[in-house]
Amino acid sequence: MTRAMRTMAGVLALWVSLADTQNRAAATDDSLSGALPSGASMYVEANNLGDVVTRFEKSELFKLLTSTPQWRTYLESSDYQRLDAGRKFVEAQLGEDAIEAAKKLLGRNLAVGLYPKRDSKQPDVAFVLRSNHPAFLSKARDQVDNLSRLFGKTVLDSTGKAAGVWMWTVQGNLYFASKNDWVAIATSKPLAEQCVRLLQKESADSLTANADFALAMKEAAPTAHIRVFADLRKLMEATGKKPQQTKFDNVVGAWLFGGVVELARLAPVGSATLTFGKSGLDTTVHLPVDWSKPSAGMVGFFTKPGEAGAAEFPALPTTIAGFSFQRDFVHLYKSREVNLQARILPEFDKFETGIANLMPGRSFSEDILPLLGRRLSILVGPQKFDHLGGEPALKLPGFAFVFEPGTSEQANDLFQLLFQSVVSILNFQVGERGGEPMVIRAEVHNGVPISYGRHMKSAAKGPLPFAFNFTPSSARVNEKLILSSSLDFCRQLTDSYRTAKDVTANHVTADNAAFVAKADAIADGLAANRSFLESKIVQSGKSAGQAKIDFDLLSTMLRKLDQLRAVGTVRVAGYDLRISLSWK
Amino acid sequence: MRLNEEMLSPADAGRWSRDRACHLLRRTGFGCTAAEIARVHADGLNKSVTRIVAVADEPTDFVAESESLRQTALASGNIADSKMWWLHRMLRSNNPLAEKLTLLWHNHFATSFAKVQSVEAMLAQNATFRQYAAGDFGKLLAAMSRDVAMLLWLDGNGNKKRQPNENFARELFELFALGVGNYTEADIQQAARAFTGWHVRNKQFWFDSAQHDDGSKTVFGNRGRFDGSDIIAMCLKHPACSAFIATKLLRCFATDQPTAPAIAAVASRLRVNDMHIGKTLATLFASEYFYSDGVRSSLIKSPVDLVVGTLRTLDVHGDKGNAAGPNLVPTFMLLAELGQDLFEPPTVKGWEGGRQWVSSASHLVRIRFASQITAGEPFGRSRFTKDLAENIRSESGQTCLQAVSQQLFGRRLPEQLERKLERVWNDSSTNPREKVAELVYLMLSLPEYQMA
Repeated sequence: MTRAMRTMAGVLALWVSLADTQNRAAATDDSLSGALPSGASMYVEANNLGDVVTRFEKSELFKLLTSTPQWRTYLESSDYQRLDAGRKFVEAQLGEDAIEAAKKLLGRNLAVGLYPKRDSKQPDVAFVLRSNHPAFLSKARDQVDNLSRLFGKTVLDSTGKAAGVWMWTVQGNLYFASKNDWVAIATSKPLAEQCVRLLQKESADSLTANADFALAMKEAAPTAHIRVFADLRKLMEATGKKPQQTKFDNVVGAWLFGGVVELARLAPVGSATLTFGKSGLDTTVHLPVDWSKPSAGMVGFFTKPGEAGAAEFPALPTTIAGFSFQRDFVHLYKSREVNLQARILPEFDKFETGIANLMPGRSFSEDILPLLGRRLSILVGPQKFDHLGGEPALKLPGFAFVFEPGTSEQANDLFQLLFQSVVSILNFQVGERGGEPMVIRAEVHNGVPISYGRHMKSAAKGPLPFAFNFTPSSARVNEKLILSSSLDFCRQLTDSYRTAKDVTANHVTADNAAFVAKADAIADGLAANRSFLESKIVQSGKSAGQAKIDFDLLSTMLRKLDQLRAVGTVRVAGYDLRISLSWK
Repeated sequence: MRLNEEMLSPADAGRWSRDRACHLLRRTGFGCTAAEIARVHADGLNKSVTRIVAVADEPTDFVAESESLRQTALASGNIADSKMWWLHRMLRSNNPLAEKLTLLWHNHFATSFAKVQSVEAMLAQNATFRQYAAGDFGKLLAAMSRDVAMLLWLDGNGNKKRQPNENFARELFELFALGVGNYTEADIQQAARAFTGWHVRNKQFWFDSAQHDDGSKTVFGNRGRFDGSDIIAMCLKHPACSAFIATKLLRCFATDQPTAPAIAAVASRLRVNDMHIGKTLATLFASEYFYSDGVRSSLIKSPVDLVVGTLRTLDVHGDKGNAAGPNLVPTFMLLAELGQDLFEPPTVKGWEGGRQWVSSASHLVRIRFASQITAGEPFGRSRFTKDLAENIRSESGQTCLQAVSQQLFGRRLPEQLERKLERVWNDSSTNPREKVAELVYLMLSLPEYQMA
């Protein structure tokens, strides 16, 4: 390993507080929550990350990163020179390799706790680490003691050594204590002493014994590499704000995230974990709160027991991304005055007036919205342009909304009316801008009727205009209604849904929302627009050659990844949000 | 005639200096680097003027980048991409005079994307400006009468035999060729008939014979079955045309307030050169008049002159100084904020220019630009200030001061001002980078720097 790579690895080691790879122990047995006093508003512990860092050092990704022109440029930068100088300084002081020293010092597990103070917004902080190398710690203690004598009491004062515990303070602002295999650091003397008592087994009033901590961490995987606890009430008190329901300034934000924000307001505590696997990482946020009793406005956000949860994604191998969620849209719409800011409410009145012009005598919330069903998927996938006799220079993927209105014929008519109206309105706007109008056409694709809008004129030669990315299409298949920006993508979806088993009636899950993004498909989409994206890099001031290098790096990195997946789940124990990133 | 010729008499070669070389470069392009000044100074006046007016080859990298940016603008249909494409040309082209003239004609035949709504048409018009930039004005005028963006801008498709639309004819006389007072309302009405049927079809010029009025018309006292080309030819022969274009050239390259003799002299050269812009400008750039006190530092910098000129002069590069040029995104946005939004002039009259460029609000933005340039964000870092800061230990304060003033102004500043700046230099930070940055910021903020 080159010196630069070692320095990089050293920084990573320090940054993520790696543990010794040879000494992995079960987090439950080794957790430092028993070494920090109860009363913390926030607690973070890191366990056994050494194998992760080792894998990263040996991975293709690390080799790739350290072989890029960007990395070589970084090695010549003043930032790196400073970092390298720091490394050399540390090595001179310790008399050994900085990375090895970091592994010895931070080699097992460590934890940080924040403790609110009554008379200050700045919390007290306690930090505890346990090492597998007591001999190294002993040597380090001797060196610190020497420094204490060198700088005098105003800088580093030894407060004495009792029961084998060494203690120092730095100008009365930081308190260090150490013995055998552990180190404790705190911003106040009482807090440091509490940590020492816990580490010496002279007290039992630790975080582990705290009921709220136990409630939150009950669902936090004990084998996770990073575990976080947050006392949300204490954190809110620290900001001086009273927990009030958030009023969103846009509908999308309220309908996508409103319920989770509301749960976070109601939950007394929360936890999070981060676990690195061989080919991916998982992070989970857990809110131990009764999700069935949020404020009245957000009741419609959550899947009720026995209801169909968020829809499965269609089995398309090339899907770029998808977002699927289940909501009681009617309830959320009717609760807009509770959930949304007053200044945006007049927009709903304008919207309803517009709808009334299209369908006089009907109420949007009573007659139209219920027809849309309670599950909505937003999908992104590649599209072909075969039917256009050419391709746009900038190729967008296809986008689709998939509603589940059941078997309602009324919903079918509504969608057809909506589709035809949208195309007509678009034609007026396009005409004003000198663009090509669309004509509504229909086809039967593998037995499924599809309506679509096609631009009247195809360009005879050269790339097609940007607008040709859009051939708005709609189809009804099984219990699903598809509205897509692309005829080709609409065809793909009808094929998938035609044979899929995921119909509302038999899809009972607790998933409240799900998201997926596939790296290969994203990379393919970027590759199809390579010249356009490189030009965007040139706009930032780089040369065409530099733009090619940057694009290649991005593309190669994406191809090393597999997918990003996020799922929000309602369970008896509370609400979980799980995010997974996998790589090849 | 003799008096006019004397006005543009050749400059004395013996008075050729670094200051004059700098003046020539700044007026015929956007800012200039020390290397460019040295080259022009060494080449001498005539050789430099010939080279500046001629079309130089462009480097392969530049051509590739420019084409990539142009294709992106066409692909996205986003006018912001077009603005960045043009800025890239202004910053990096080997033909800065062509870009400056393209900007002049963009303002002269002011056409806005706001109404045209077609990037393709706006880029095609821009290419026409560049094609005829330093060429035959008559050909440029004729091309504009058939230009798709112009026809969309001035409602060409509404100009029909039974309902002539006077928009193009009116602007042709008032803004493109003659100027107010050199035609009558009747001339406009008759000329509008000559342009009936000059329409756009399938994004191209189309002569709709069914909508063309080929009857007899009377324009400027001449009677005949004129069409649009005849009207263009009559405009070019009109005595007011050469004076009108001469005024535009002088206001762009010499002074905001050109005198009558100067206008007459340049108009005379235009007529002698059959309205050839390049030949006329070559005479102007090589004349003693061009280097006279009344011309030097008498133009208020347009936003493009200020921003592009400063970025070039200080050799600003994005991405922490490792990039090929400055970040174009904040650059085009700043120009819009300063009132010169490329491809989107405010009216058919274009940007008024001169004193209108500087208001209390825009002056604050100009000062903020000076601050951002020295801070390195968001446009990028200046290689000039970096190099100067690195060599500061071997240079005295006076030397640094002179280096910066030479780079920014092309000459030494008045002694009193120089002394004040020297005091600031002596009292400023001991950090070389901060010291140079403060000095450059102060100089960019001077009222003198707002003058070209």
